[in-house]
Amino acid sequence: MSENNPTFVLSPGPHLHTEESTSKIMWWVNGSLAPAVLWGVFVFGFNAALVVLASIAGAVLTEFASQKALGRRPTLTDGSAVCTGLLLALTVNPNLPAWQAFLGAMFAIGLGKMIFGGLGFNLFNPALLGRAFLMATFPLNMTSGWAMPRPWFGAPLDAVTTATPLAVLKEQGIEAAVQLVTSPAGLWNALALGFRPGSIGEVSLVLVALGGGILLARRIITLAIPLSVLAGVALSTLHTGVPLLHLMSGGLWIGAFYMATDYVTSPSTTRAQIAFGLLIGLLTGIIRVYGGYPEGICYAILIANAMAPALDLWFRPRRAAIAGSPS
Amino acid sequence: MSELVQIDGAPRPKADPKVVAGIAMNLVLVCAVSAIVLGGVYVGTERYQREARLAGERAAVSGMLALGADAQVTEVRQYLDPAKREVRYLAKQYGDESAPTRTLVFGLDGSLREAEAAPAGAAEPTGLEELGRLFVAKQGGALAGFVLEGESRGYKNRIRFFVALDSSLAVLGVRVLEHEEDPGLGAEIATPVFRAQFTGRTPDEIAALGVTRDPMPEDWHAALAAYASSTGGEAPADWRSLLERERTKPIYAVTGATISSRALTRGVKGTVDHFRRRWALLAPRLEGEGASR
Amino acid sequence: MSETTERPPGALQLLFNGIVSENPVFRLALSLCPAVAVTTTVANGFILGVAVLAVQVLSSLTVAIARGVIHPRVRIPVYTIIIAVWVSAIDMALAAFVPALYAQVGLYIKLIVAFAIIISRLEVFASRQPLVPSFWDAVGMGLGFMIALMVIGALREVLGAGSFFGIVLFKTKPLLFFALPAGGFFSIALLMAFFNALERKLTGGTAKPAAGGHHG
Repeated sequence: MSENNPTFVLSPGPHLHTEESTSKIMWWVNGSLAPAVLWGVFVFGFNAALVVLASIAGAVLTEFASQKALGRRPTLTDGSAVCTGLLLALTVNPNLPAWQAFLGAMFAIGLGKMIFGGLGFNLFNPALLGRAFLMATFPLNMTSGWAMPRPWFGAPLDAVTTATPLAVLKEQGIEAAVQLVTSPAGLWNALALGFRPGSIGEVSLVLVALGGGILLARRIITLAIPLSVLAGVALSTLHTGVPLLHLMSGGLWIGAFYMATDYVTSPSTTRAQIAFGLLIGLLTGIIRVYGGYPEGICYAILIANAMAPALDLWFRPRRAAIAGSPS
Repeated sequence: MSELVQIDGAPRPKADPKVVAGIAMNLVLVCAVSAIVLGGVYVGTERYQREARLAGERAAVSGMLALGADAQVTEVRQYLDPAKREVRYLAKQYGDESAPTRTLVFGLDGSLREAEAAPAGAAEPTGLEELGRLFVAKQGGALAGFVLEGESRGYKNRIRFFVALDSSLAVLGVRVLEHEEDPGLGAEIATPVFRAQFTGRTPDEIAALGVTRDPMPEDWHAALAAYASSTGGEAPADWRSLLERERTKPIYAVTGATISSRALTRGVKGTVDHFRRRWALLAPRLEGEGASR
Repeated sequence: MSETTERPPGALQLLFNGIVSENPVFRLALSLCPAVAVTTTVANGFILGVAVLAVQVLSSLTVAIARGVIHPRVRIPVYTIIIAVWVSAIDMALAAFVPALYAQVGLYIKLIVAFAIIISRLEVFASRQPLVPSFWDAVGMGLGFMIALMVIGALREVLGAGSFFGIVLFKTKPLLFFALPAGGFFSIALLMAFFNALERKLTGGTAKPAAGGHHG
């Protein structure tokens, strides 16, 4: 690999989108995230905007600084650093201090991506590494002090803090979770439009799905991974009696559409992608139901990232195998 | 059986008996020298080690209960006899080898089976399962408190600890005597702040005690630190007011060492719970001459 | 250093070797487990470092003396026994004569039996060299290990706990991440990268990077 030319390297295998340039794809991804981001900022207010800006700034500046330091060609315009910053911001508490979001983005880009050699060489999804770092470093700020959203410029913000539906589900049971979700605006409004506590980007399923739809329409992603992630979650939470609550809450959809589908860290053949998605879904359900954390999608994707090369190997197309080889 | 082969598939050469004997002799020699060295060190240090341990234990017992010089401590050894389904209690004055021993035997159903006073120097029971010891302290004729010895399986090896209770059986303190948890991680369970979390809880609250991975609230941490560093006298007011809020909450696990935190908590719970049931049986019997003398 | 036919290196060179150019943690990547597990504070790193230094020196001296009588086919088990004997003897002696100190360091002593760094120095050096160079090699390696642990401990204590050698620098824990095991891995990796980069700069890019992973 030539160090001065960090091109976007696709793994071998059938791919739908080799004709798209990296930067074009990235800016489409960023654009499709815009509605969810704007809505998150709108319902959570000023600090959410600060978090988004700090996270993007942290990502972009770290990428720029490390490329300068290593004497590489700056690749800021390809939009991938912005994308990492945006995705990280979407997965954090809107009340997180902005400097912590900045630090998380620095970690995501610096130790999640640049240290592996830049875009295309990272093993793990940088934004999720950033989130895992923030969870470990600032557990209090990341997991408490959630705000019940209300539109900006609406009723004055009182400092009502509450837990997320998944946390309530974990600690207080099904009824309390349903109560929390349905009380302010009704179940449908809560889950679809985002009138419930949560991280900046996870509140409105409709807008995340809209963004995912744009990516699908542009053929930037395929349905294989997102659908199998959702199927995996449904399977592993069926026995709890509330698979719908699990399916429609948390950062699941952002994870399924935007993070699990990251080209660099996911397998490239369809069969491997389905296995990858199911693995993520099952792990998410297992962590949510049996694990220590209310939300599991972040760690599930990171674990599956580590499995991606193996999945590609196990599920590689038959014709690629040499007859009689021990595989 | 196939021939033994080398790792690369080549046939393994026949072992020369002389070489084998040489290697065996060599290993035997090394092991024998090592055994002699270790045995010598053990014989030379064992007595001091036991004395050091006993001194540490005595300091722990009187320190945890804040006993004065005139306090009387009865050491009760507990043995389980699974075959006869009974528990033997051997009580004698703590630290006095020449004191007479008083034996009490209860069936597992709680019935008194045997009570006798044995002369000093009576043989310890053998072949029985040893349960933790307990210490009953009296000061000025009144019950000053208890120290219970407990054990729990930690991350690597057993954790041995003392739990001190006041006369109403509320926890006065927990002290970890021996453990092999990882320094910097599990070993943090032996720090004063972590241990202080148990202090002040009643037996009912201990019985319901859980462990959480949630971070400890800052104010509670500060109060525990203040409590842990306060020497004697009144407990800090902050700590007492926050205890009312926290006493029904779970123990906050050491970050990154949930297993060790759970192990100690489980041990304390089990020890206190067992003692509560046994004390109901023991109390009236120990009031006799054997303990109060 | 193939066999004793070569003149063994001098004391200063052996010390420099152990502390800098073949630092057990940063250059040889040996005994990374304890380097991660124990280095949450500088003091932890220091205590473990002293214990390793003692066991390394005693074991190396024993092997250097006894190398004539150890059968080469069973040398590894014999080394293991020698290390275990020293560790157990030190453990028992400390417990008996300095119980207060033992309460502080007892945990660390027992960890040492399985350290890769000690047995590797026995195999690579003490089994082929006379007493005096073996002593200096052991001292150098022990010091190198101790210094490495203290550097890692300093980074993690300052960032993770907000203190240095127990002295509180910040009221809050700045980056709790570094106090956790995962932070330990990152600290070592970052420091290793830093020392590799430093060496490359000093030697003009000719130095080999640290060899990768050896468990223990």
